Amino acid sequence: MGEIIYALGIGALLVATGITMNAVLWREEKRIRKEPPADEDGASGKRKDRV
Amino acid sequence: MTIFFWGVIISILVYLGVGLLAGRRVKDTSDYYICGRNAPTLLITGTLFASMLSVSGFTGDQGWCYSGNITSLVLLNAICACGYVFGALVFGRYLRRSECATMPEYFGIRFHDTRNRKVAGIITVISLTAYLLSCMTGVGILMEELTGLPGRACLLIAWVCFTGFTFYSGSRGVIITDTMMFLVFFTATLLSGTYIFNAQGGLGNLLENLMANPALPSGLLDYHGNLSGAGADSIPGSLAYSLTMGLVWFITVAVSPWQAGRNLMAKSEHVTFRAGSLAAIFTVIFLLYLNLQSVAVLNLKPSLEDPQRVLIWAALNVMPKLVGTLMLAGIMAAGLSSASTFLSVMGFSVVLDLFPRQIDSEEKRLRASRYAILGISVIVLALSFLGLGGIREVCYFASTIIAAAWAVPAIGSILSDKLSAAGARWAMIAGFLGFITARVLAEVDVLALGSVLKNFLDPFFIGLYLSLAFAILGSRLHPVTDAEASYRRKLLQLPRSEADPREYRRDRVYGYLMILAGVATSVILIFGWALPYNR
Repeated sequence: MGEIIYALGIGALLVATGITMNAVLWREEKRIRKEPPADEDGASGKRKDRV
Repeated sequence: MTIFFWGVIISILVYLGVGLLAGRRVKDTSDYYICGRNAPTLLITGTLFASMLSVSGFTGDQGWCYSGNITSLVLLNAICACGYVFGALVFGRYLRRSECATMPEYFGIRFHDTRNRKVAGIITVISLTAYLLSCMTGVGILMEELTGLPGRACLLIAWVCFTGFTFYSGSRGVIITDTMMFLVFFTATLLSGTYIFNAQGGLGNLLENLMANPALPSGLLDYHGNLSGAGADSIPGSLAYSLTMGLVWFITVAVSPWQAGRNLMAKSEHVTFRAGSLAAIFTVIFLLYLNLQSVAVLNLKPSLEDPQRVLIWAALNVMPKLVGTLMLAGIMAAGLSSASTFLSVMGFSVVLDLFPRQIDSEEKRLRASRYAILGISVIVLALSFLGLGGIREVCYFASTIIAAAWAVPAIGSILSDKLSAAGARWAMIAGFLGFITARVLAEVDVLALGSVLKNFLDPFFIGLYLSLAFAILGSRLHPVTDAEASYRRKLLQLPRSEADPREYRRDRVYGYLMILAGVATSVILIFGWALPYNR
């Protein structure tokens, strides 16, 4: 029984990670479609802030 | 001079040649340090996986499998694998947005404090010098065994190889050769498996043969593995070991400069997601295939004197000479790829973070960078000749200590609006010193702490807990400034160049690939092992 739970667990780790990744990416995609980012460079162009 | 000797020498010459050729396309310091921020998914995947897998992945880890802990290692690797994706989602993509050349630079800019950059730079240099030394030692020992050349000659040959293309070509050379080396050991492993499995009656008969093997190590086929191999005296203890070590490596691949830092070179954020997914899949499936080869050798040679030599034994005794040579060249490649990454990350930190110089001309800046990396590498060679890489205490500073020190400031720099510059800096120092102190106490077994400081009290976690505590304390005493808050807000904004819905759709294909890989892995394990074993 332990072996079966283990085997399911190993696969579940990858499955859960894939689902989480896709959920995050899908949320980003929806947000972009609703309101595209206004700022030309977003967080880039930070060279001005170099310490 | 055997075929193995020539195989090692030829492979080294090929890596050196390709790496040096890559350097001819290096036009400026952006190319040199971060590959022009233009690396595609294949190269980022290749460098992630190759930098992670070193000689110990083919020796120490395989010895552990052979001795009864394949299930422990597969579980550890599966947890570790998830760190690639979570790391990209919660940290790596934001790190890339910073447009920094090194992770210490990121900490300096994110928290608007050069002291953070210096502290992170010092930790990088100490930790990766130690890791590089131990990696070089591993490669040198392997080369000595295969070629019969004296130890120092082997160190010198290995050094010439990875230093040659790293100092001349910088990151461009490193990630191209990393990917080449990844393809070498990937191909070698695929081929070697067919010979090893066939030699003991075929992959389909592996389980049956193991179950009938009187010399099978205790617990090898059980889900918890060999208890003593995991340093445990109970099943929960063994599982706790795999779980906690898996978490250690989950965090390590998510925030370490030789892993998360590779995202600085990615062509886009989407590359970080895709490369993370592929690295995760390879970590589980490819390594499972490799581990199965090690346990298959139990059916051919059940009493190897040194289990760490299991794949070397197989390369020399089971495979045709050409395939065996490729396998050994592949193991060497794993070590060289890690060494080149460590040298580049450590060397760049010395040049850019610890001793930055203002040079007007881009050409002069590039030349100065190359000479600096060469000089640093010569120092590392001298240290390796002194035998420092073989010293156990030096190895304490290698691999996971940097993650213990950086996990809180790295993840906190994105997720927390309360983590200040002081909090991040104190967290790094506390994590680093906490880890090393706990490690020494455990090794010396002061007050019998050796048996206490394990699992969630492992030195890694002691460092992590202290890091968190000092992050909170430092941030309370020296709160976030407007400049820090403003930078974090900008970092969280998605750049317009990344906002292409089609690219997100393509990214999700990689997510589905992970789901498919997970289902396939479970099916294979259930029908190939769990059900037949329990019949």
